Amino acid sequence: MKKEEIKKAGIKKVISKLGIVFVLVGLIILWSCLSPAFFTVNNMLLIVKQVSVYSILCIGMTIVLITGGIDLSVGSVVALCAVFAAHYCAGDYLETPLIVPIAISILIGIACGAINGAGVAFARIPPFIMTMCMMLAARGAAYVYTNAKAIFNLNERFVNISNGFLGRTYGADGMIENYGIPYMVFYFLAAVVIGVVLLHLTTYGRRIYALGGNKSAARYSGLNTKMLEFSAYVVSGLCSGICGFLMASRISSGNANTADGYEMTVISAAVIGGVSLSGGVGTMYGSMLGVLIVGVIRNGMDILGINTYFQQILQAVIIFAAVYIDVRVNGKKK
Amino acid sequence: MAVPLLEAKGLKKSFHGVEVLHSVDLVLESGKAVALVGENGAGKSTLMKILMGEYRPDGGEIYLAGERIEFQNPHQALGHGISMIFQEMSPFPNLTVTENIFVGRECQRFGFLNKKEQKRKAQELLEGLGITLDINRKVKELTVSEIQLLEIAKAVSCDSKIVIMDEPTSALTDNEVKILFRTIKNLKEQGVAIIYITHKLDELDAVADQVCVLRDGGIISVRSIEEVDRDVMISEMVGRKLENIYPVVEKEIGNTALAVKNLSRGKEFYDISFEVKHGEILGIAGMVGSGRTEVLSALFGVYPAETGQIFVDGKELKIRSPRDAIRNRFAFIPEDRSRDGLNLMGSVRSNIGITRIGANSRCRRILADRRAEARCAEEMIEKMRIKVNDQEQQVNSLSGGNQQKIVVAKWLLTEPEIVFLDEPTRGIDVGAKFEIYQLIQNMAKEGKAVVVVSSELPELLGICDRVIILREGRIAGELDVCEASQEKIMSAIVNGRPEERERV
Repeated sequence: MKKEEIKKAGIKKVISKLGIVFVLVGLIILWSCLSPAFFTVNNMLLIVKQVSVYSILCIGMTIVLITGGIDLSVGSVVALCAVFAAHYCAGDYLETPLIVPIAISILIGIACGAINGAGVAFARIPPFIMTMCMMLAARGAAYVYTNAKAIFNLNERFVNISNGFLGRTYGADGMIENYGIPYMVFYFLAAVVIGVVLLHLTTYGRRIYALGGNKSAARYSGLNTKMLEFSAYVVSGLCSGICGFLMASRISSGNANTADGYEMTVISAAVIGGVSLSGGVGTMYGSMLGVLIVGVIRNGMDILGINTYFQQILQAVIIFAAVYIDVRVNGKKK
Repeated sequence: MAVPLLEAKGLKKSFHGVEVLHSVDLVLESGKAVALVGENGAGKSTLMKILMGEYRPDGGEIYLAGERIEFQNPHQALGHGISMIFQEMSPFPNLTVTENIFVGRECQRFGFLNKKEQKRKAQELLEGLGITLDINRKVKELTVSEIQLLEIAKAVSCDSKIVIMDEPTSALTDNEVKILFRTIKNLKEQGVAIIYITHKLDELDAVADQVCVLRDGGIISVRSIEEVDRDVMISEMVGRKLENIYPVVEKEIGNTALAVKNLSRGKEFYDISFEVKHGEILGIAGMVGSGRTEVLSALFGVYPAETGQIFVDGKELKIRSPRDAIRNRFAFIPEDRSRDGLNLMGSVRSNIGITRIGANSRCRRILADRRAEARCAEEMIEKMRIKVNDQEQQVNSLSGGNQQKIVVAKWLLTEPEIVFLDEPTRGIDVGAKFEIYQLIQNMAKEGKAVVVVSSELPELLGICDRVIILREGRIAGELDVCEASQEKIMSAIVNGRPEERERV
């Protein structure tokens, strides 16, 4: 009797841990049934390509959320970094080595993250407010910098960073012989590996969990809580900086309205993946699965030709359902 | 005999398939107090939460004045005149004392809040109970004991027929305890029945009419207070005989380990000087708010002192943060373990490992070494006999005593030389207390200098070599434990006796 119940509890635990995987598999099966075009190698690669920017942003966001904070500025910072990156590989700078726009994009990202981190950790401004200010400021700065005009005609090699394929070959007639794998897929895989290692295998990750679980206890235990909190926003800024030049490359232009609303997409992906907005709870695996779920939902709706506005409603319903189920399953522990 | 006020029959409750209450019966008569004693995890809190409607029993019935009742939620229980003062208090920190008392049943006039009336009633209530509290203060500014008194006042104000108190004195000073006991007596005279949960057996005579011992989810005995034999009761509680609650350990006292000179911080404490030797256990007595906790937090760098010097083994140190303190091999077991000691959401392993994140690592401290963490946790779990299912269990689900052991465990892993413990046995049961005392004694035996802050005078007398007394932020006395008595310490706490200090 007792043993059986313990076993039952064990199964429940597994289900609650893997629940998110079931959601992903379920969605894939659902879309596959609805459209034969969905479950193909090319479409799968497309999904991964589409979510790779989210996955990079999600590293930083997950860490910030686990410390108990939030970073609303990621979308805007990506835009600011993107327009700078675009500026430094177009026009007069067309022949500049690629390292210049990349480095500038990353540095601006880190700088924005550092300002967020300093505001939150040292000036004690609530994360929501601090990063909301950064969200407004960075977006505004991007418009000011570009005069609200998009920057076009970027360096070909720069554009290739996000749009290139590994192993793509062309036949004699100029037709694609081998489709190849988009570079973006590798960026996604790298993001997953780096994110998981950073949060789950390093001492830094341990400290982040300790900080998010109980800030006071972490301080009493000798952790430098202010520096840790600061660092989380810097990591998020760094991720935005990387995504900045990737986005400019992907859309082959520097546009101040790039990555609009990405912060919400990334936050919802993390939440779907089981990260708690009150800090201390969540995993990088979960967040990355959340990113994939968001990608699959959007791609499936695109393939089915669902109207964009209706997509938003449907997306809301699916996110709500995923989190609701999670709360029901995991909330029962109490 | 008339129908009892409350009668519970055969209450059962299981969590995760484990039965924690086996057919518990309880009878309560108006104007009487039943004391419920038992180790942590014996099922006391669960039983009370069933009576309060927080949990629903898996079996059994509850009768209120002969009528069968089934509460769906605490609100209904309150409506039937059952109120509870929780061990883990749950006030609203941003509301004032008045607003906390009347939360959910504000005084109204024409649908608007009648603040004046409310304040007047609150003042009356507190005065009637003999509690001095500024009704306009926000609860977040209150000390733990003030909050406790507030909660008691709140329960009384509900016109309850039954008041459940879960370790109400655990954060109170002796004076405040007297106020509480007076209040309980008043309540009983008004026909209110009281269920009083406690770990402090000394209180039973003053409060209880009946004593009910609970162990492992079952009632072991119910006796009227006159028939209670303390030793029998303790052995019933723990299921074994406790020879002496304060362990005696042979040890040697060495040279001065920690010397504090003229430490001051704002209005909290002034001119604090004392010394602790290797192998010595120094007690600090004083009321809550006398500066005891503040002195420790200053020494540990949580809120550094403004002036004064700290010497360790004769060398002056500057301690500006807990990091500095830990580097100099200090350890601090804080008063409120859920606030400052533990990550309740975290696993046992991560909590024990937090002080050694840097040490349990590979590749230049970058990668965490999970195996080393597990080894450390396993070692401490075994050494300290912490009861856990596995290392990944959430700390939240452990009993108070086991949680406290985890806090001690994480500090023992740092191999400290100077150990501060603030109320180390607050809210834990007799068995766990004994084990904590043993641990403290062993630390001293290993040559560590130990400083213990406690509100329980018998505890200080039982384990310390020397006691200093703080009063209003100053040292009011110092006593060697062989010449100290509860009365002497108490009089220094209340009156302050500087001549004692000069003599020593």
